[in-house]
Amino acid sequence: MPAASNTSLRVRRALVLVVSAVFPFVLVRVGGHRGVHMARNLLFPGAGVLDHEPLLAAVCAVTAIAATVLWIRWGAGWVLLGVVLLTTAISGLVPGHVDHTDAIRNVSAAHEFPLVILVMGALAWARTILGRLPGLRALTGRRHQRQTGIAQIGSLKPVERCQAAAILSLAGARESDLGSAVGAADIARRAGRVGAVARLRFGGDPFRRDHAHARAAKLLCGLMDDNGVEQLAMDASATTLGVPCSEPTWIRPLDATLVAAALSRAGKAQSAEHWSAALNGPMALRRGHRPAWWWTPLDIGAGGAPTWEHAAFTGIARAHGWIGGDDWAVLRTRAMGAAARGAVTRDDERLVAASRIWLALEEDPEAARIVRRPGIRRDPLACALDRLASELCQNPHVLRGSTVDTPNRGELT
Amino acid sequence: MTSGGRLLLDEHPARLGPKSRALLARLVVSLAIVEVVGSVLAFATNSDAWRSFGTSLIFPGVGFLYNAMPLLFVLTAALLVLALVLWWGASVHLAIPLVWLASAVVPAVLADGPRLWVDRGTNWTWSIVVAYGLAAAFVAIGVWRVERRFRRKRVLVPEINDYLRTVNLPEPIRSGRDPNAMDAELLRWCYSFAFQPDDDLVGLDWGEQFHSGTQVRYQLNGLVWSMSLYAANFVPNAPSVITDAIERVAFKHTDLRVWKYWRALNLFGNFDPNPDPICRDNIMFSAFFCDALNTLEAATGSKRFDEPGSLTFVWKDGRTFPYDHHSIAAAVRANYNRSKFGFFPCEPGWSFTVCNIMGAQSLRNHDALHGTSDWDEVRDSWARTLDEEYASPDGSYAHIRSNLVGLSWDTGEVPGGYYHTHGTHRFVDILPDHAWRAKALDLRGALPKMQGLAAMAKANSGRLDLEMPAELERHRTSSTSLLGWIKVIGGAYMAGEPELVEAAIDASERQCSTGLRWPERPVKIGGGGFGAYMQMRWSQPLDLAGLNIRGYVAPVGPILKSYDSQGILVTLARSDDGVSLDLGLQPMNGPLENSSLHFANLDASTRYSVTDSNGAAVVSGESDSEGTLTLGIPALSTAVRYRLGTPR
Repeated sequence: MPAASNTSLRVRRALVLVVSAVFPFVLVRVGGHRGVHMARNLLFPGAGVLDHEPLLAAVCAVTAIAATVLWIRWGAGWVLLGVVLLTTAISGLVPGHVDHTDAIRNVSAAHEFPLVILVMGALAWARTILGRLPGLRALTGRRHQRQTGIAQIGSLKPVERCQAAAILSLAGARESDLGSAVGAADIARRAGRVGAVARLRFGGDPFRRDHAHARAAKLLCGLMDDNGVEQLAMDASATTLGVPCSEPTWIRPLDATLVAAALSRAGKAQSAEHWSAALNGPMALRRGHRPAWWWTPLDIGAGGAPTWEHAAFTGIARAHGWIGGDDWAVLRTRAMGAAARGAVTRDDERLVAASRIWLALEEDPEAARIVRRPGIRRDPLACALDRLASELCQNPHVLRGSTVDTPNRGELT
Repeated sequence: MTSGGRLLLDEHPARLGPKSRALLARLVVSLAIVEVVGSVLAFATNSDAWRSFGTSLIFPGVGFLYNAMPLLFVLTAALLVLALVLWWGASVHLAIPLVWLASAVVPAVLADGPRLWVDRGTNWTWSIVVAYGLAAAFVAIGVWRVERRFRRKRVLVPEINDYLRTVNLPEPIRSGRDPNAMDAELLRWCYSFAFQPDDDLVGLDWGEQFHSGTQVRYQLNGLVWSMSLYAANFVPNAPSVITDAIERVAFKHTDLRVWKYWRALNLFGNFDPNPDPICRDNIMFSAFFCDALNTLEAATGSKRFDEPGSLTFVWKDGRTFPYDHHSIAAAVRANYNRSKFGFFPCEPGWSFTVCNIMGAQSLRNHDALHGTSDWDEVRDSWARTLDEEYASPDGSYAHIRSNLVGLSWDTGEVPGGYYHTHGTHRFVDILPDHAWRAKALDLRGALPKMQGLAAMAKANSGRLDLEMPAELERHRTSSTSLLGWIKVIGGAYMAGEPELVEAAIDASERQCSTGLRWPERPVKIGGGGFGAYMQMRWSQPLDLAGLNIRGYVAPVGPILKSYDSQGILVTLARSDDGVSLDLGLQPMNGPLENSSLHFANLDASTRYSVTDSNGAAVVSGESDSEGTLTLGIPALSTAVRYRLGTPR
């Protein structure tokens, strides 16, 4: 891995831990009953003014949730931090507080906005569960059926369009509109907005930092000049995992895998080496899952990648020889389930397509019979994965090209 | 009882078989205990709560009347009807007991509560008499209806036996049919359906999968049976494309949408969450599918599904249930071994005669194809169950019986809830004596009608100028006249009237043709009847029973080994003399430029020519030393008849 100093990392982590633990105590001790309200606010923004200003509390809570979404989606951590600090300050300033000395014990274990994160997690979970309910699932299915394959790649949102284009390029596709799909203005617009909101970057090349998905697609589609490649390689080497972020501070594994593959094709093998090491180290398979994200400020990874994404990025990594075949054991049953369900939903279609990448590399005729059954013809990203799988069926070594093989991990069956 | 080798009816039939009698006795004893407990509570206690509880045990919901709550009594009656539907429709066996129990507990709890329109604490003691009256009425009506039907049928026995002793049944039709334009359209539809992607089922009717007549499984079975008949009767000498097509349709049975209904039934009925559709009960899937596989193999010789795991069912969580033709037959056999009743259930707790006929023929014909002996070992017990438990005095069999309480009733699926035979082979292969008797009984009323229709057709140059009235299809959402024509064609087969078969087929086309192609249907009928219609058209000279009894026989004479199946529709490939080959060809979708046909199984190094229907030579060539020959044919823009043979 790149030389991110372990000592510096430990210091950063310890500092955050200490501040998180001590700050509420300090507020309570220094601010008295106002400090109690402020500490409550740290537990959940808005809670500090809930007693006397319920409307304000609701506004604070909603703002904090929105800021959390912004942080998770676009990496705008400072917005969230600002919202928490602002609402905490408001909690201390709102008049009418009564004494809450007894509450000290109640917040003694609190640290920054943990409940907001829990709420966000719960919302995401609820969305997943609701999406599985028969009526809502049918609605999702209908929405999904409107797409009609690779020809509709332009209908994908910018991130997924870039991913689909990158995967198609890996599969050797030469569609004339691939370049226009990747070069579309909305991708640059998104990159510009993310840069402006998350890092106050105004003007200049919106792709100069981060945006791994877009830069991987541009590189693979031949839309990046040498200077851009050098900049991308430098950006990659600046992170612990050896790949650039998707959005500021967030490394997403599928984007990371695609950008490592792109850099590898461009002769910058170092990124692939580091990403391979990460996939076998901090991003390794644990309890049937790989992390869904890596947060660079503290170098921590967590979450569980959606199964299709897990199958996609590990399949591509496997095809490059960066990891072994362990993931297939945990993906196999889920892939067969998705195939049995008929790949009706978008995620199932992607999972089935991504699993075919694995089946091009692993000897599993029983699963192959089942997973090859559903037609992949609606979601453009799924179609791209399926195209790559077909290519790998023809030649399982097609992605190995100039990349480095990791000894003892890369032998294909 | 037999006479001169003919199976007659029992002159002294029993009302119930021993197993049904035991089950019914268990039910009666259980109900009697409930009545006794209810009576004790109603009369031997002073508490209103216990009295209302006991009154509801005497008859469900009357405890509410005792508490002067008539609306809740009406609600209980409605819930009982719903429970009855759930019992029958979804095998929720506890539905009625639970409603009954709830109808006792709730009035007991509300005994001291307020009433509508009357004072708190009001009791209608006369309701106890009502409870006994309703209970007695229900029992009396049930017994009276069963007894009346039994006596009405029993009195017919001597007359029917006289008929059976003397009747001469018509000979079956042995001649083959030549395919016409509608046969070609139907075959084209089958190919279009079969060769769509494996995960598509476009062209079938969709609806609930339990009972309604929109079950995908039966529609698929119907297609496998029809196409197998076509393969055996019309294109035995061009097996490659049609075999592939039937295999694809058969494989669609493993699609989750076809069999996932079973999980709910197994859970509600057996309290078993296992979604495996083969291993337990569910004869309406396992046996029907096994029979379809038997038929496929008998028609084409296909061994594809004999391979272990070739029919793997995958549940939505990825669990797999690997099966093949043999293991499905073994599962059917294991279910028979497990069943104390002799027949095993479709939905948990409900054993249907038709499905068990399919179970029996699936074992018999799997044995015939693979040398096993499952049917031999099951036959005696199976036949005993049929004749003792399901038979009624007039030779008809109850459509359904509960494995748990021994009751039968008219479900509305078949007229009167009884039939002389059913299933695709109508006892012909499993119990030939029963088949003969059933055919005789069916023809007792039908033969004169069929002969009348045949005379009408003959008098009008083979044309039936009739129109059938539309009938509701089984799923009750649409109606079609084709159902009536299916009955006429089937009756004509049974009556041995080939001219009437042709006339009815012709009349059905005139009345019901739509001019549409897949995914619409060329004739106006739902998915359930569509397969039956094709089976009727394509059952000469072999019907499904005849095909399964014959088993697979490799074609003799020239074989059309391969051709452009995307461009050419082969409607006929038959060698009647073992030397020449009759071919019916037409473009699959649109006019076709030059194409070629590859023949095999020819005499080596011999000159062959293709002639048209006028005998004019179209093309000729000499077979190679291995007896194969490829011949180019001219552009194809319409249906043509060719004959491949050696020039004189």
